[in-house]
Amino acid sequence: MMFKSGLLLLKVCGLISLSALCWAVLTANEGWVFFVVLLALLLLWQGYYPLALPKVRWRYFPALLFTFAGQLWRGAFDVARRAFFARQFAHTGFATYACRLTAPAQQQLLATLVSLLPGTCTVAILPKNSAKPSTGEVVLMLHILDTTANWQAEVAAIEWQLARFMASPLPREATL
Amino acid sequence: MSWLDGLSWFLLLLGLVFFIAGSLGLLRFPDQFSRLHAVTKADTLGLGLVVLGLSIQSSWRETLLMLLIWLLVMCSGAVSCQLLARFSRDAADAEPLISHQEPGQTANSTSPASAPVTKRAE
Repeated sequence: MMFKSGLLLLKVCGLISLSALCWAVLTANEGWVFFVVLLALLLLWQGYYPLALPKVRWRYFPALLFTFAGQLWRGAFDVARRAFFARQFAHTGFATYACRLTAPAQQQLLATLVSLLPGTCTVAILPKNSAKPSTGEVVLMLHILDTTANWQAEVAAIEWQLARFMASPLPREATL
Repeated sequence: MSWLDGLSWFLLLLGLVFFIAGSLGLLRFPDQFSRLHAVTKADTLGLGLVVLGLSIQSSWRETLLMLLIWLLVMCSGAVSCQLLARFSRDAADAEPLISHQEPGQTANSTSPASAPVTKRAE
């Protein structure tokens, strides 16, 4: 009980510090009265409707960040090459990717990250089994710039990193 | 000019190149889905490089502010891209219902609704 209360206090203090830092940066260290009032209102709101923060494992964050940054660079470079050299778009098309993450927030985050990967852009998140949408399994409908490329491996790699960071184990076959 | 200034200018110019690539892609790419690739990826990296280049010549507070702005732009860019793509898909799916069709005429085979399910990477 004591440990739980301490952990909660630590989380609240961390969030207040982060909010104060953002406020200081965005307002050039001014208007602290408004910050205190706003913070009190936010804490009151949290007391009545607590927002559950997802469990994350920060030790895997650098790996996720490096993977994402590398793929963002490659994605932008690919687009720039196609734009400058007017490359043909003979193999563009749509495809679906069976998402292995189960939590809706994680699926949404993956869909957002995928839009910044090389050659892929999320169009929709659809239930895997339209007859039973309550199972939580989804497929990502993607627009692919080059359907002949191995885009699945890149999406699977970022999905695996995300699952590791969000402490959400993937099914057994998900070993890259 | 120190080597740090040189690096800053190099990053700024590289960022500008990616911005130009994004704008060119918007003009040159064949359909709205491909154009979304251009504006999200190239512009996000372009802004990141500009922020990195400027942060070399700025104070830590300005650097933090620019990084926050980049993060917000990246998030909003990726989310709005997804929303635009979803809207385009819905519009493409609704098109055969709106437009006049001759008896026996089939819907467009390139519609997103006819996307094949691909096997994921093992």
